[in-house]
Amino acid sequence: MKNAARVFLSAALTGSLLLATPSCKNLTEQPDFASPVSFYKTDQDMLAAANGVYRPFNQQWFNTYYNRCVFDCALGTSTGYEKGPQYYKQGAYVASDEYIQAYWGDNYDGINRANVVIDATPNSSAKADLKKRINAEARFLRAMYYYQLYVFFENIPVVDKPTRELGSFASNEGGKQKALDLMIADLKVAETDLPAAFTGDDLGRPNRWAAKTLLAKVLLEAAQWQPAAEKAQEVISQSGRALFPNFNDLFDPAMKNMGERLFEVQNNFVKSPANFNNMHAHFTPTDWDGGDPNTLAPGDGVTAAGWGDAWIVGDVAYRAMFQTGDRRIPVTFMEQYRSKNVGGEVVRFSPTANSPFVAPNSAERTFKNVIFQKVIEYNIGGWQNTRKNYLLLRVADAYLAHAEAVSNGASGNGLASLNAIRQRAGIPAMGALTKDAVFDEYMREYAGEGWTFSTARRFGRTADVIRRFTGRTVDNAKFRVLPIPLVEINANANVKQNQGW
Amino acid sequence: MLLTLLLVVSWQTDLYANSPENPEDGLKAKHAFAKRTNFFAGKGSFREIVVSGKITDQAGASLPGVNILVKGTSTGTTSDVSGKYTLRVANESSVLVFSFVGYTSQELVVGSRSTIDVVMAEDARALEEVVVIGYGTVNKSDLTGSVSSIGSKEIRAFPVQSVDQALSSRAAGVVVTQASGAPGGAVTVRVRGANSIQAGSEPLYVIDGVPVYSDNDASSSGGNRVSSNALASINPSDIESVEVLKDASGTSIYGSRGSNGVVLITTRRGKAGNTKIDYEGSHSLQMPAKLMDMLNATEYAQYQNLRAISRGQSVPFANPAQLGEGVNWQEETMRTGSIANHQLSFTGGNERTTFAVMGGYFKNNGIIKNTDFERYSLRVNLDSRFLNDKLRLGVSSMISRTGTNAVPTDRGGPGGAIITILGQSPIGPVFNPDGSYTFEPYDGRFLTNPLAEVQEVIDRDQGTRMLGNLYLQYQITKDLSFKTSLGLDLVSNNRVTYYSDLTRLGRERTRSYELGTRDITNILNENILNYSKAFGVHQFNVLAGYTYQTDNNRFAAVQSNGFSFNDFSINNIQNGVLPQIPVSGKRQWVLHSYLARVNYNLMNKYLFTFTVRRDGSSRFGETNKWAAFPAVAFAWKLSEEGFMKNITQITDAKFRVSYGVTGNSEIQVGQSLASLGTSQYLLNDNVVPTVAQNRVANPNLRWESTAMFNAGLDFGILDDKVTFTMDYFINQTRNLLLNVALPPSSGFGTALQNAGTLQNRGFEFATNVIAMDKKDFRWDISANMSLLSNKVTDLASTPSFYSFVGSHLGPEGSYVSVGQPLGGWFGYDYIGLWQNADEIARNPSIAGIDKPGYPRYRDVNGDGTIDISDRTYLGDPNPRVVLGLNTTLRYKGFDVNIFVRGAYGQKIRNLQASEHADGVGNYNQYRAVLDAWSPQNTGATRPIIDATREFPSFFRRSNFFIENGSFTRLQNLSIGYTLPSVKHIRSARVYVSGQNLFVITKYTGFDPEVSNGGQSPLNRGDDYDAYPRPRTFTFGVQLGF
Repeated sequence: MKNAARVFLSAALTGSLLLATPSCKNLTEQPDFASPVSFYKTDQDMLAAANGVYRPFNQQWFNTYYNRCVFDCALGTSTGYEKGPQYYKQGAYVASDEYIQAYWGDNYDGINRANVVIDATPNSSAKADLKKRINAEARFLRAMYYYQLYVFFENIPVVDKPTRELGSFASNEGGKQKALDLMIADLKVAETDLPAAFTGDDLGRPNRWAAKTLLAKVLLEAAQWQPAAEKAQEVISQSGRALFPNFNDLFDPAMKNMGERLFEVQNNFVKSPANFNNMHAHFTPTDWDGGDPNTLAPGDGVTAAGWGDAWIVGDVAYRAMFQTGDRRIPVTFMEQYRSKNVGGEVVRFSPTANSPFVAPNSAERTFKNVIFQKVIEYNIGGWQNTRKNYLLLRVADAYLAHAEAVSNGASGNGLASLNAIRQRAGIPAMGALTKDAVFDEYMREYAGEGWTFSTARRFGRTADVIRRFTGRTVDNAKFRVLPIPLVEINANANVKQNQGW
Repeated sequence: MLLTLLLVVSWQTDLYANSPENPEDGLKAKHAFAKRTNFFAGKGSFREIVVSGKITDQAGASLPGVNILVKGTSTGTTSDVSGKYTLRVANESSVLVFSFVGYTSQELVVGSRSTIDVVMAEDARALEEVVVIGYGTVNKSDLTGSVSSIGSKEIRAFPVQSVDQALSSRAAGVVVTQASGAPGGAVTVRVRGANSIQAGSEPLYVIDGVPVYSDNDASSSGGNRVSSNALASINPSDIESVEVLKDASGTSIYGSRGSNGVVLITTRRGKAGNTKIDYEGSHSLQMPAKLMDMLNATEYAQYQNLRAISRGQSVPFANPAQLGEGVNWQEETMRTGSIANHQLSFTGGNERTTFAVMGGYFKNNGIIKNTDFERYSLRVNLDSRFLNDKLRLGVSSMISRTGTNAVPTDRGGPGGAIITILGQSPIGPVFNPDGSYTFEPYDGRFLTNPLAEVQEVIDRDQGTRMLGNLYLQYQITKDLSFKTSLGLDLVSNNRVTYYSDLTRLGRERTRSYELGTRDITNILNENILNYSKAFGVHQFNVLAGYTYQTDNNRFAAVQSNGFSFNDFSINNIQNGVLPQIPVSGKRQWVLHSYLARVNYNLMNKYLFTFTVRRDGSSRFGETNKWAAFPAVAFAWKLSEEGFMKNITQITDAKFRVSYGVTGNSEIQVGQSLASLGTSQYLLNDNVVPTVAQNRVANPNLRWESTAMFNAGLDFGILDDKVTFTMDYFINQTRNLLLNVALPPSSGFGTALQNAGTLQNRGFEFATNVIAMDKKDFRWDISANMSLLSNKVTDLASTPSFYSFVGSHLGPEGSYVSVGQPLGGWFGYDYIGLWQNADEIARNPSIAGIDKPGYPRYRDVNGDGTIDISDRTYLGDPNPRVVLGLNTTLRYKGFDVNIFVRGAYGQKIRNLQASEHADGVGNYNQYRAVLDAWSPQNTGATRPIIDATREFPSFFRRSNFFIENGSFTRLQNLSIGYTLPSVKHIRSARVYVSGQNLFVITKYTGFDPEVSNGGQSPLNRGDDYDAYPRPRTFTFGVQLGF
């Protein structure tokens, strides 16, 4: 009995030890993620990969929209309580700056994703028409990312193949021209191969009019005034997409991806928490009760994010560029609201107010902060619950591009294009087309959308604008562009820093 | 595992019940046989005397197994299980020699006595103490490496929640930092400094033979706080000894996991003899060792008035004095904490089978309300010999259940409990007249009530851990044995978090419910051959083996928001109408190893150790799966040399030197492979999946390797009343695992690569002194000291970089730069306050910012302006010197223990002060800001109170907030009394003690021993949202039956 127990036990133990001993010495990783090697085959693979190209526009807290708004602070047209807007306003930004690094990285992430899709599409087993569309879509997105880089840095490294291994990296020698050439080539494919409109579950993808509008803007960058004017005119006269009569429709979530709105970054926190409009948080005044400033009905109390005293605000002199009666004013700026600091009483914007905002228990009822509200939403029950998209391209771009090209010598009725924008805004038509008039209209039309810095650069007005809004005198040749981020310079010997930085 | 354990137990029980070899009977039989043989041996003598007696130790416990020999004869016996013996001797002049391992031998003349009771004294010369090393043991005198041993007395000197806490300042070269003072909070351990930048730097723990890397984050089930201490699931009271292997001689046998040192934990095992029952119980009271001195309501109102004036606003508080003292949120949210600690153990067995069964209960109610940690544990250790003692079977097994209630602290982000407690307006009140909480805006933004944030958060962790090892050892020949073992570590953690609408997050998310789980299965199989043989003066011990270990770790968490009911108990996760994106992950690794070690002892003077381990790990790139880690060590026992024999003062002297290479593979799995990441996007407001590549493949990825050189001296003088050990070491780590920055134009931010080197150099000193050893009075002193310097020596192509720190404050993390110590800070050098506009105009200043009363910084690059290029090295959080001093006085039954420890030369970055003493923000401030600059107070120590003053880009990044972190702490003071032993009670001791009774430091925060960085080698020494460290008073009893 005893011996039997021993034998049995010994056998059981030995058995269990042997079981634990592996029969083979396989050291292959068992990862919990997919490998690129086995992907990019089917329709579904290619669609998911193409959809992935959109993410880098808005994939981190300091997303591309936010960073563009920070860069605008360098002109002094806006500033803020948060450290980035503060030191941009001071002109203290440098190549090691985190906003520049994030912006640069996100755009190149988008470019690499587009490169992967463009590279993989021909070898995939996707259907031919889908291949064609995805290729065009990826080329449009690649051009959009390059455009976002080009207008802030100009001389950028141009990469058009996927990065597959560590080691060899692109140079920015002649990068300015290479970038223009690649954008134009890509957009020419996109304007041909993309459909005139997407519908149903594809709403939100760029159509050929978006490609043509972007192409017009790239041609302006290339100073190809006549082609730019013609491409812009093509959008104005052939797209069948008119300017919205109501400027607010450009930012109304009910009008997403419709009519004048050509291309936008999609947001809807409730549907997808990964895709939300955090600019709402950056722009909302802390003490706002969340209610609609047009009706001044009491709000839900929880819609303001209130990071600091409002993260980014406009300069009072920038607000003064708007004529009284401009219908864009109540869409662009929040100038009255109920304040939690004073028991829900109404407080109002006044350029001569004592302080930026009405402090708790203050006797004052006016504030000086210029609050951008194009992406602010009302009564959404929590600052994250946003639905507004980030608008990147609209038909108005074509009108102003047309006016700009003509003001630079292209043929066409540029004045009519400029006045179409002014008419919608409810301000008097201009009698003559000047570059200054076009520039000022850009400044008003896109206020709080993060394009002021790049527009001033294209018009050669950077130093002027900085002097006007900050009083600082700077070297235009240096300050017209941003420094290339230090992380790129350090890790890539082939990239040379921009002049002066 | 458990099944096997049950089998073994039932088998043994079976034996006891049915076998004719019932241990009692067996022993009796043997005893009778001994009597017979002695009788025969004694026959022929003419005046035989029968001597008997009882042998006890100094505590009065009977000592079985003591050898008793009649001197000059082969006649002898051993004491039985109750310590009794009987022996016949030739005559009255016979001399009895009593000897037992670990005790001083005694020689007694029989004389006219027939009863000779002997009290055996423990050998003061602890040199023959056996030291556990990897895969074996050696006599301490034969050690070739640098090993520190910590015994169970030190570990149990005062209540600790985990063994790593007990190591603090007990061993030279081992630096323990309590990263969180919260119950069950994180502890980080560095053996001879951090040898890595981004891979893990914790030592490898080997618990009864099972290697465990204690990665808190990889064991945690998530939550809005720093991960709890994974080692807290192991009951420190179960531990017999801890050995810390510090040099390559010891750590190379752990190959790719040895470079951060190895901590060997051996739990208590049974000894043959009567079953001993031991109970230890203590109760402690805890209170905050220090509260921060904040502005009261009146002062806060004055501060807010100054802020308003600086912005041109009307003054918000017309009559500050009317507000009085207001609320002290620290007092509202803190309480007297407690620790209850109960440990019961049964140990014993017979010559064949020994056992130790230990049960423990530990409960710590933290000094912040609603925080506690609780542990139940059960351990069964068994050893059995059979088949003529050729086969040995043993098991070490533990099961524990832990529970933690936590509040958000130590996370270094907004909304943390401590941040809110310190910063909330003191105007109050805490409650409305109807008893409900008041909610006031914090920083003018989030409505919150610090007491509600602490009391109303539900954040519970529950963990179950089974850790065990089962071995079977067969003695093939007299010299050769084979041991195979199966180890298992099962961890299951789960978390429930709920934010009701009484909490800020709960209101923001319309109530929020989270569930998290973690499940770990770690399996180990080891197969070791051991050969020992002496040939004349040559003595060999050879070990060779193959081991296999695999780890499977799964994590999942779900969150849902938007609940209709506030009461947590009636909610289920599906009741939330806003389910969030769930997360899950798994990681799996495999390690195959071949290991070998030769210990060669020549003439008992020259000792050699050769070690090699060859590891194959799944974690590395295709081309670098395997690597070997060799080490050699040599020791010379000087005291055995003829020329030393005359120096009688020196009892022992040994010189040691070792060199070897060890590795570090503590990186996440799968890092060598390219990977696809998924996310989601929206089209027409419908969610669509997205896929994109997020990592470039690096097939060359390999481990970090640390070359370790160590030289040491061990001395024992004055009959070993004074012993000391000195070590000097240089550790050089190559192929550092670094997230090397890629040019972002590649589409990728970083890639894990092997780049760079770093170096740790240091000197260690440890001594034990028996200052007095009289009959009733004994005084022991032990001290250790470590000196360490750390330097990054190369980063290959990676530029210097700031590590990421998850803080909203603005300051960047540690600056990693060649030539600087790891973890150092870079920023602006504060040189005082601007006094007037003229001074600003004439000196380098920040353009457009500086005003009188603003902080002034040094123009480091001398370009006449202060900007981002003026950042410079501001210090680092690594102590230069760490000290531990322990002394025990015993007088008759009384004992007094004093344990003092200290660390010197380190800096602490007081981020808490950078927020709550900035003189800018819209939250409460330390009272220190009252000494702010104003035109009337130009000699002030603090900048002007001004809501528009620059603070995020320069002030918080300056050394204004980097403080001297040196400290001396009275870690423990205890006074005990051992009662005279009475029947049935073998031993009894009562004691009172105090822990952390005082700290001598210049540091102005809660406590200088703090680290927000958790276990990471970077971002250490930041103090933000840190759970305050308590002062503890303990009363306890120790009883032996």
